[in-house]
Amino acid sequence: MTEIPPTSSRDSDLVQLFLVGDGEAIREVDTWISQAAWSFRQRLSEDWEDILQEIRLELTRLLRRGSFRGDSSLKTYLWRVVNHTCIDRLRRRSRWRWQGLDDLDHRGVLAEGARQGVRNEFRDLMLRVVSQTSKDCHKLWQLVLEGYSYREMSQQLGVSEATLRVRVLRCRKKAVAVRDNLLEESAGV
Amino acid sequence: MKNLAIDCGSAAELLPWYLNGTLGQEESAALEAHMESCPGCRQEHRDTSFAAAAFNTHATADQLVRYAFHQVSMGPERTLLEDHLRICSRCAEELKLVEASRDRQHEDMDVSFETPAAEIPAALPFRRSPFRRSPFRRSPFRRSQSRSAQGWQLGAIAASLLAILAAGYWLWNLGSTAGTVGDTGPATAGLEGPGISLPAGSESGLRVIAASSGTFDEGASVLRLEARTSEVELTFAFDGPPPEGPAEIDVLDSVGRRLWRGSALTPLGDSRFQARLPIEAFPVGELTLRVRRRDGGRLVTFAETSILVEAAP
Repeated sequence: MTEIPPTSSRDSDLVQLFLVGDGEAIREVDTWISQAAWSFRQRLSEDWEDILQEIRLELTRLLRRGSFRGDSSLKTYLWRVVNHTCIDRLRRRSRWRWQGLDDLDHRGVLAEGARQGVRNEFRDLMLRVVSQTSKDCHKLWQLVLEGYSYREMSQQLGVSEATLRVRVLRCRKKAVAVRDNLLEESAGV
Repeated sequence: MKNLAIDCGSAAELLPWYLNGTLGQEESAALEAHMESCPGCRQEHRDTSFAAAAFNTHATADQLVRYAFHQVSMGPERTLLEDHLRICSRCAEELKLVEASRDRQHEDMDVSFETPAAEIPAALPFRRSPFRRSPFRRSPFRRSQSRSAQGWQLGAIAASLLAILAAGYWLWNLGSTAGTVGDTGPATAGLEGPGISLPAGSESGLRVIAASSGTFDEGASVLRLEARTSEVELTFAFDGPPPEGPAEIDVLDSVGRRLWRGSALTPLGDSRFQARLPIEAFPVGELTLRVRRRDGGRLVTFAETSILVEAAP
């Protein structure tokens, strides 16, 4: 049986008051939001007001739909929502993002109309592949993914363009080799 | 690269920057021409796509937050996550931010919002009650009131609220400052009034009542306010020429905090505009809609009105 936290009635009261627009409840929740998001402020300073707004909207949406079930305190729940939203916001600012996994199914790794479970497995495969490359490879490829040209990367890293291109190629080959090994292992070959 | 003929070795090296879109026009064209006739390099293209996707795979926000809050138990997921955190400086940095946030959870921080409280026009019947209180106003460390004092206080609050509601209803029936509330009785009746048309019953579970006649303070009229399942559609018209330059519409709560800001105002012609606002920007209670425009680099309020949102029965 799930143990109900002692503050659950206070939390549910606060949720109800917040949703009906009670000023004090809004102020309390707003203070928590600010506290929780504060560590992201330097990275998100340009969009700070927008982010606070986005967090409020997301929290309101989740509370309205009953997502807070009292498994933790409301404050902890809110903290998690805030951190989720801030990380998502940081990531949306990335210069270049991969759009989907379907384009990668050149080896038939994904079934047609991939189910979420299969996509999760594919995602785990990607994480395993990357974890077996080096930190330097990861850094190089992050610059590629952020949209830097090879000239920019060469200047930033202080290496010749030729050297840079060879290093990035070696990292790519390493990733593909690890992938092939992992797939063979999982196939029992 | 003056020589536009690319061999397989060069093609393999250039593919990452071809995929990230930073390769020059000539190099891209040469690479594409080469791949058309080289199946080996087309496979290199697919392998490079895979590598890009793999290196662009990160711990999810959910994983980082759960890990920081000690909710990822020992097992394959945790191992995979920690292996990734050793390699990926971006995820490691994000985790630090989450951990710093987590550590603030039990601190007392004096953090104030920068949004100033909006002035609430005195003419509106739905003025914020100075007597409104909630159980959360007091710090748990303050001395609590006696029971009899609390009883008198609650009585005073209730009486004040009734007085304000009665005054508001009286003013509203006069029709001098309030839109006409449908006095047809059934709660699901549509609300009609001069310039205001609201649907009978709201799909979104909200009922939006304009607290004023719909006239913005500075010369605009709300023509239509329609609440749907996921959005509120606001149609309004400016009495005179519409504001020049970009305009924004804000939704403010009862204490003046901005709940939503939008700049997507769709012109309908004849100084009429339409805005679609997410339903989440309309919590139950008093709200202020404010249209602002840029004037010499600063935002100037062009029009403002208050509305009251109630839960539809």
